[in-house]
Amino acid sequence: MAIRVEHLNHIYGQGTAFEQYALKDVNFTIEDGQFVGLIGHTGSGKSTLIQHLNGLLRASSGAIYYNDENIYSDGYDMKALRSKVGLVFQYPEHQLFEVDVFSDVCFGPKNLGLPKEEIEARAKEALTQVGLDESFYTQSPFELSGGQKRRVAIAGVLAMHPEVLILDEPTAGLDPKGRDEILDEISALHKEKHMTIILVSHSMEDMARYADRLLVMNHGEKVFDDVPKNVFKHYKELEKMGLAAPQITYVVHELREHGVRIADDLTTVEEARDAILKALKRQ
Amino acid sequence: MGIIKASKLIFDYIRRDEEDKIEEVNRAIDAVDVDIQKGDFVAILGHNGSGKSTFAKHVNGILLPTEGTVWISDMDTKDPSHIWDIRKTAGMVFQNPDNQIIGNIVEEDVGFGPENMGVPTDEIWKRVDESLEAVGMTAYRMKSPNKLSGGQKQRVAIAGVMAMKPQCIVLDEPTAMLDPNGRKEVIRTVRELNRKEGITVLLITHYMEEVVSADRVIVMDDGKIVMDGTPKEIFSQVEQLKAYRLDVPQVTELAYELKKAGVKLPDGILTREELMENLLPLFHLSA
Repeated sequence: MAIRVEHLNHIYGQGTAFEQYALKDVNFTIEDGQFVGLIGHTGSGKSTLIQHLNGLLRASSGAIYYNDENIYSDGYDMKALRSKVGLVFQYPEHQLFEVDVFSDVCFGPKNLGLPKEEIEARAKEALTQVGLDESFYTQSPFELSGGQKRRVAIAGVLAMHPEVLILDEPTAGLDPKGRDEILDEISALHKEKHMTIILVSHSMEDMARYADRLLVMNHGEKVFDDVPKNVFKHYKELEKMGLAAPQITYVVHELREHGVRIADDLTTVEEARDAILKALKRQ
Repeated sequence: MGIIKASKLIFDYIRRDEEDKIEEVNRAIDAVDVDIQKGDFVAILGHNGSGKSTFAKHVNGILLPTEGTVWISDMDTKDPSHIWDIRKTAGMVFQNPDNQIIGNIVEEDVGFGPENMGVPTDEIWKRVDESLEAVGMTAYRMKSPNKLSGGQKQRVAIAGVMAMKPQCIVLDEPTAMLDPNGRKEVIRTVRELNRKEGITVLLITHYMEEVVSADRVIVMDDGKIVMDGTPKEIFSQVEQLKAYRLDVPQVTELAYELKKAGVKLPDGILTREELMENLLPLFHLSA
């Protein structure tokens, strides 16, 4: 098991009149190789939560175990944790700063104190994983398109050889093409490299397509934790939290309300098409 | 002639080296002809690099044509004597709300535009009141903008443009950085300004759900206008939209897939209601 979170609380302004729970008694275990989607309305605590997972924020109480070791125990190597659990922030392209793409990706491994050959090998591998070939290496990161910049930033994290990759809305502000490219690359890292992925996103359609499991946060608490199909069945509760299910879920439920016999856990266009065709044939 | 008209518009981004020699020419807009009528809600779609933002920047003279002409209310944008009138006619709202807000409190920010135009004080306050009312932000007028959500900030930015009494608003991906609630708020506000105040809206976006209620949809690719029609006409061409790497709303795609499999449905279904209306009778049920 990769990550185990036990009774995690994070309280802002503890002991003052402004005391507020950002995280409230959060518990879950993420196994190696899972693709977990994390959703929640703005201010639900999801960004706070992921910053705990690599030790950037420290919990007010509770514990986090990484490979069965409590990261809050004395002498725990936080630096090692941060290279094992890679965090890609929102708008990571704002953190690019080097003169060219290749140096930017080398920055992380260089700080690990690795030999030059190893650093360069890692940078090449990471850039290949995000679909950027050698023609990009000497370009300034600031002259690339939005999607390309973001891929450079992700490569910078991949070059650290993380075991877990956490991405905070990696497709925000990208066009559909850029979004599909990034999500397909993340999916490839999951399938081919068996990397554990935690993806924060507002797009339920993307979650339905990629995630094995969905965690839903609301007011700092974990409210749902199941496969996406089952979570989307609660579309009415999701709406109350300012979230929504994929459009297809609504279509399916409306058909059921009118008496059409069709399963209640369909979330993609293909699933709904096949089920509706079958139901029509039964007529 | 409409409020926004372009004729054979060409725009080249030119990169020069240190000796001012041309290094690279990138044609962002390639011979575009378009005529947008007053009071219309027009959406422009296209993936990054398709030329849609470059076109938007021509509407209030931030960019001037390399070749061809753009007229805003019959004024040629290349004529320097018209530039301030053009900017008063066409206001712009950009993607990142944090880059557009300068005031310490909301009402001050909204009043900034008219103040710079030399509008008398009484009139500024009147416009601030009206604009905040129009975007539904009156309750926040004394708040600090940095305490607002992304969607609220974007509505303040729109109020700031409204206070300059433009006839036309150009919004360049105003919802790209917002969460789903923020996106809904902003789009609802824009639609109301169009319907109630009769303001011409040019909305540039990637999100298909936002263009469903537009009067007209223009699709750009590689600097050219490749599709132009009502949402229904555009969304009935699912394969073509996909070829331009654009998304299609799930409902539209489902209807298209069912139709392809032989189910009798009309073209270009855009909403869940429409799909139900047409699908339920096939099950001998009524909507």
